[in-house]
Amino acid sequence: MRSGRSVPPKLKSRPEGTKALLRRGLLAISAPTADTWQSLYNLYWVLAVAAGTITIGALVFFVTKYRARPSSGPAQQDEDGKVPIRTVLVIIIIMASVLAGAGYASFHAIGVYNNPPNGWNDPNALHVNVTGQRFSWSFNCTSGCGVPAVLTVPHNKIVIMNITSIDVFHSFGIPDLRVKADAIPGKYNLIWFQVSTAGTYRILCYELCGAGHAFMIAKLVVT
Amino acid sequence: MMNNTTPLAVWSYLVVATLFEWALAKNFLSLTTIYTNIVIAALAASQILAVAMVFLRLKYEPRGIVGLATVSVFFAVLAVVLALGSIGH
Amino acid sequence: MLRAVWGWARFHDSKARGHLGDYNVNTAWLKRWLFTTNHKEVGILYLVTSFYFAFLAGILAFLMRTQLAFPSETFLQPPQYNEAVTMHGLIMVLWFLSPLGIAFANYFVPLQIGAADVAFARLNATSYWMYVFSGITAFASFFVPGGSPASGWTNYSPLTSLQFSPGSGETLGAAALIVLAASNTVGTVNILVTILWHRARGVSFVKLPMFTMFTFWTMLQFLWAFPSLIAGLIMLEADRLLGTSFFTSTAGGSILWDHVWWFFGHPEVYIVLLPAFGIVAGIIATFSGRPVYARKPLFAAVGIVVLLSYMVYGHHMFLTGISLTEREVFTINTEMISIPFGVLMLSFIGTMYKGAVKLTTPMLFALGSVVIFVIGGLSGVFNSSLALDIALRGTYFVVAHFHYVMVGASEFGLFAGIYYWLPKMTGRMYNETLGKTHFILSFVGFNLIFFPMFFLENMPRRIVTYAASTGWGPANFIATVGAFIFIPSQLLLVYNMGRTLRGPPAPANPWNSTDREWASGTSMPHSVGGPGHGLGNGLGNGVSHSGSESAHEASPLSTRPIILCLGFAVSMAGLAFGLPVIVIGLVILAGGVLGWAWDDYRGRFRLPEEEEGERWPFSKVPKDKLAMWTFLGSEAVLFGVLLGSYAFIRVNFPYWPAPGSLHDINVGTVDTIIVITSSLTAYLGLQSIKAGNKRGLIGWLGVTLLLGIVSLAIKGSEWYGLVQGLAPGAQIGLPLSSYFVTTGIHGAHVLAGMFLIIYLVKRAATGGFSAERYGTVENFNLYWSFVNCVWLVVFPLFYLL
Repeated sequence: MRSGRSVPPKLKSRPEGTKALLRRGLLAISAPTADTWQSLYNLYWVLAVAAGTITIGALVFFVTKYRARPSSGPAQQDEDGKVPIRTVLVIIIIMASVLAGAGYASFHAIGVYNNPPNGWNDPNALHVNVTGQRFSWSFNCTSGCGVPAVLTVPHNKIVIMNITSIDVFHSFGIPDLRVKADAIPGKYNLIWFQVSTAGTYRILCYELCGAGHAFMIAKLVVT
Repeated sequence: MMNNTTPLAVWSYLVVATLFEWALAKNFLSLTTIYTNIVIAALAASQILAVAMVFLRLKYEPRGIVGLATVSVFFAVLAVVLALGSIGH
Repeated sequence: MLRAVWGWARFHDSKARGHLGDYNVNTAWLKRWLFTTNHKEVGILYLVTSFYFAFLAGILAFLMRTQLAFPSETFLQPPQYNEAVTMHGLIMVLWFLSPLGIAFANYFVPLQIGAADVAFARLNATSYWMYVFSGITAFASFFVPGGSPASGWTNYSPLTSLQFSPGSGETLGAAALIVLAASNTVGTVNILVTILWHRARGVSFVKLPMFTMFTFWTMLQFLWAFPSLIAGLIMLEADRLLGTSFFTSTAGGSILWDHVWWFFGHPEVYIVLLPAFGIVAGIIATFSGRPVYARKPLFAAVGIVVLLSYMVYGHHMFLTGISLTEREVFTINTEMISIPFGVLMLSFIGTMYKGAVKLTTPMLFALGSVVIFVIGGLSGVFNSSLALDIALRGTYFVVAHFHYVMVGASEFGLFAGIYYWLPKMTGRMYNETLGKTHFILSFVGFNLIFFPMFFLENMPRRIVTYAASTGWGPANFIATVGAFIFIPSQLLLVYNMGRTLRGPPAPANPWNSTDREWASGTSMPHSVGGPGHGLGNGLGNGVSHSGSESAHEASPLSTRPIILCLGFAVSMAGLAFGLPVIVIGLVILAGGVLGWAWDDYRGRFRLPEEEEGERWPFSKVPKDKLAMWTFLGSEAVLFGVLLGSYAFIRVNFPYWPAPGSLHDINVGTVDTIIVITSSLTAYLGLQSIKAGNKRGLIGWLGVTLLLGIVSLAIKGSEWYGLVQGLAPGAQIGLPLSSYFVTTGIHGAHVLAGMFLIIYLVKRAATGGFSAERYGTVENFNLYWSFVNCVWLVVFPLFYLL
């Protein structure tokens, strides 16, 4: 849907503004992870808006339709009555089906995240070791990928990142590419991405790590 | 009312089981480690069951109490299972 | 606000004089409120106190929103901001929302089920005072060097370790949490036993009023969730104070803390929500003039929520690198938990079908709660997806989600309860216009704050500021505008509450509800003007009560709870302030406990026996035994988590010492046999007294005590040997960390048991037990053998495997 669209050169280097954010769905940052995620997100939004409209709509409808008139109705009766099993079952089945569908879509999406095109040991990919520390990100790769806090990668290159921390629990995220993994001392978490559009993308820390948490910002430069 | 032999019998079983566990751990029976561990774990579980049934009198308590105890143990075990299950990829 | 609330409490009492039955008619106001054990008064204490904490946490929110209104603000410095965000979360969740639910539980559960009071009146006061002192301790952490905890309300490791959070703030905060957890455990046992054992005739489980029904399920969640928190806090404090390495190592570390915290944390958020929903369910029924729709499925649905709530917590850990299978399981479980909530929505909305809906203030808040919950719950489904969470984790989308469900659904539900029950609690009517204004401003303000946050899904949480170039400015600004509407509008509620005290008298059942708590009052003969009995003595409206409610006024005062709790809180605070403070606290604690035991010994503090009502499925179980079993249920989870942590660490740590190399197997075996024998001797003691043999009981108890001493001595000598081998000042390795903490907690339980034995012996010696009266001995047996069961797991795990 979005992958083939070309981007006007102006957009590529302009830092994200509100307008760009609002047009997120149309913005052609093309990356499989971002595309997968965005489709899934849109699906969930559609389902959520539908479910929310129906439920809140029913509530508003009932409140309006059954609003007490001046000749008010009887006091609360305590009859237990029959258990509305059919209605309950219908609700359960509808919800379960919708959720199953959503879940299935999620599992499909996670498959994209878990499977870089040529595997995790892809010799042609750019393997980057990412280390989080208070309060910066540093990148280490065999081919030399940039200065501290700036990672430079070629476009269309598959990048595989091995993420860890040397002090506290951080979280490494590139929001525009919809990739993120926790940076935990002693643990190594792998993510991959591939960007077809040149540009500069923000890298942020997504887990409170101390006073400098808001300033743990790095840049991904895709050439 | 209460028979003295049951608690004594349970106690004897518990002690014997403990000695058996001791012997296994000391490797007097020369089993491979995994079997040793399984048997020890099974013995310990049986000991707890015995204590619960007799000394905690679960054998004689109504279903409500047994249910409360069982569900509590369920959640305790659940915590362990979920934690251990997260290990690995 | 202070004065209004103070005034309310005073007003209660000034009407109270002359109304306390047999007891000291001129009890001074202070003595009354410090030493009360009456469930209504304890409920009011909880309510008023929770508002103080809401005020504190609300100010913190105000500060944060001011800071975030514009990009690159410097109104708050990063450390201050981190403290604010942490304490805001902790105080709101644990010291405001939950206690407000408990306030209502205290006041109304006994009324709804037709009980005279809660099961254990002094324990009720105990849970309250632990709550207050824990809150004061938490607040005090702002003023110690290093400031308050600043690692987020989730206290993630290793940020909370001594290395990264130096100073005593985190230690004090964790200590406060331990005291609060103790408060909740005590309160849980109390209210559960009340609901299980004190229902009047005809109040079967299915006929439970909504609020009590939801509270029942909530209490079960409390029971099995809080022990996990306690275990985690013990390990954290051990790390910070004793140099253990549970959360500073990589074998344990961040992931271990995540498991332990979230096994508690996720049920906790439903604990916050369910009582509010109980209120909402009852209110919707009342103001629709219809019975609750699908009551039985509703009952089952909430039970399923409780069960599932323990199995979904991994959605907080989707990005930590746990196994894919578990992530998938947690996704499925989290999605599944939406289904019972769907049944809840069906019930709430279906109740209005063919009804006569009156949009009073309580109804507005109740419906508002439902609407906001729908949005909040749906946003939760986004977060349940292991794929979507990749981008949403740690962002403001999550912040929006949980504020929708916690503030919107829970808080609005609780506010509905306040308006709904204010006439009952004060005998007077609140101002409806003010109430509706409060609702409109709150609803609009709330949505302004949090709806924009759904579109800040790139913005990390807990950041002190952000650059303008991110484009997050406008949404943040709108949110702050919302805050400036929402937060001040809460003052309308407080003002309304205060004003109600002098408001027009309310009829006994202003809402025409058929729930039991309204049925027991009569109209208000003396409340018009003047010092009548408008408020009774805070014990409900009106003067004459039906039998059950008049018994409410008969609870005697007791000084023991507040003293005990003070001691406990001080000794825990001493973890941060040093050994002398711990000792002082323990002394005070001992004073409280001894005083309590003395009261029991002398048979003081007897409440009238109640006639048997509905007790299924515990009809043949004495109340005390039921309480002990409930308590043991929570202990099972405590030890389960401690041992589970051991197992987790051990599997992750490749250099675990082989059996026998660190701990002597022979010594352990001997110890185990001694422990087993002590179970036998305790049991033989119980058998003796059941046969009427007092001396047999004392003898066997004595032997049990002796065996306990020997067992502890053996443990002590093992400890001594191990400690000798430690390098001074160095961190304690993992095998020893888990050994010391596990056997230490177990040993503390043994020690407590031994004190119990001494009490039992003394009491037995003076003829306190007989063939008909041996309940306490039986309960001791349960406790003692349970602790020994724990040892039967500890022994193989640490010595043999």
